[in-house]
Amino acid sequence: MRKRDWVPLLFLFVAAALLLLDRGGGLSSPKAWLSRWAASGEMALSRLLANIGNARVFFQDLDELRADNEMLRQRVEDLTVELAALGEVVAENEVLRRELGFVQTQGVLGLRGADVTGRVAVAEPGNLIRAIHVDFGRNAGLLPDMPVVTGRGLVGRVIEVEGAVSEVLLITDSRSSVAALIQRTRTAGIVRGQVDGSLVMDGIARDADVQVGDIVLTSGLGGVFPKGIVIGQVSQVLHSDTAMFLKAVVSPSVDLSSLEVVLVVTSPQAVRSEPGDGP
Amino acid sequence: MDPSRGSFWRSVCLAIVVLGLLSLLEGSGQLRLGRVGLAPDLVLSAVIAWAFLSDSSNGALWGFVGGLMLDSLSSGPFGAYALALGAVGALVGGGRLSLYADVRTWGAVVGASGAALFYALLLLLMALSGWGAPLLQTVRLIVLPAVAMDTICVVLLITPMRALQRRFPPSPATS
Repeated sequence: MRKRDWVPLLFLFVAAALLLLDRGGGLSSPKAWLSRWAASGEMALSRLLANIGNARVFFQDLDELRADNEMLRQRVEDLTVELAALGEVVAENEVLRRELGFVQTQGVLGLRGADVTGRVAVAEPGNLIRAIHVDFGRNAGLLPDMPVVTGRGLVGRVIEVEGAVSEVLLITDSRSSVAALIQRTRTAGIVRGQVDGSLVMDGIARDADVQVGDIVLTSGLGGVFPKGIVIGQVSQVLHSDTAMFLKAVVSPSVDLSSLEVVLVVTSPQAVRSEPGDGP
Repeated sequence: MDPSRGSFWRSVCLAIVVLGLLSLLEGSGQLRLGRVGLAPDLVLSAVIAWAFLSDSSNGALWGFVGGLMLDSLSSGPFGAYALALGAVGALVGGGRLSLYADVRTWGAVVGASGAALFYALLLLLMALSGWGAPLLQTVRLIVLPAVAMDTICVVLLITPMRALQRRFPPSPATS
């Protein structure tokens, strides 16, 4: 045997030992240390890439930005008028609810309890797992299974927490499933991540009324995700003569490929009210 | 030992620098393509290209170092990347044929075989760790397109890796 024939075997032995140690939970401290360093390096690289990209976009799109700015000014004026009209509708709605004896259980549309904000530090390398690392962890009060959101809707849930870094499993990962309902008809189902990164709502009753464009929300069943967080919109309804349940393809409301800042719902009472939530 | 052929520790440092940068680029999520969001496995491609041009020990070393980098960025079981990449590096380096090392087609064959072996090992290790995914769908939607991308990457990386090996010769197979 040549002197260095044992070298490959040594590396494989050490790697196997690490795998076994990790399974037994004996690697949490060094793993946290490595993750923190990796996250720091990744954030520095991301900032560099973002700055390069921003500079290029700035010079390319200067004219486009001017036009967009003008259009947005006009839009703000239109929305200001619309907002004033909606204010009247809200006031009228409150009066009518009071007269009809409705109990106002939730406040205005908004997310309560999502009080930890952090940046997305690292995307998952490789192609098999869909997860992200965020730059906050146990120090900020995070615990496993806390829901992660943005202002546009559901992102996923925390699966592992270290001191200053946490791992978040995206809803598009094939291990993710979320109890959900169709907002318009209150039809229940389960939204599951698929291998190709899409979302499919299954377990929908065969005779349920599901249409393209329907909004899909978390139902609150299962206890992990609070009720009423937007998951996405139905983009395709999959009928089958033989299946017991309907399936619907759901387009996520959040662009999970370009996440920068996320919120974690740390309060168990966190709810998002939605139009139509009654007593 | 012939000093011109470099040392073990120089190989380790070079692997840390090159594979560290590639793993950070891979973890930045900037390289994802298409609706499915697949990305080329840069670290895997670099390990295969390096092992293809050197030997089993250097292949295993680069695989192990690159695997540790990816393990530290991944939410999967720690050590899975190190074991899968280390095995791929050792096998590609051990099975190389110097006679064909200059033939691009042979590089593509080695790249495809190495990437397929890597995914087979990684899926096995993840399944043993409790990660379950529909196998056929995973192979059809993830593994096959990824292997195709990685094969192209390996072919493209062979020339820069050869230049790097001329500048920093890997430690010799026997000492």
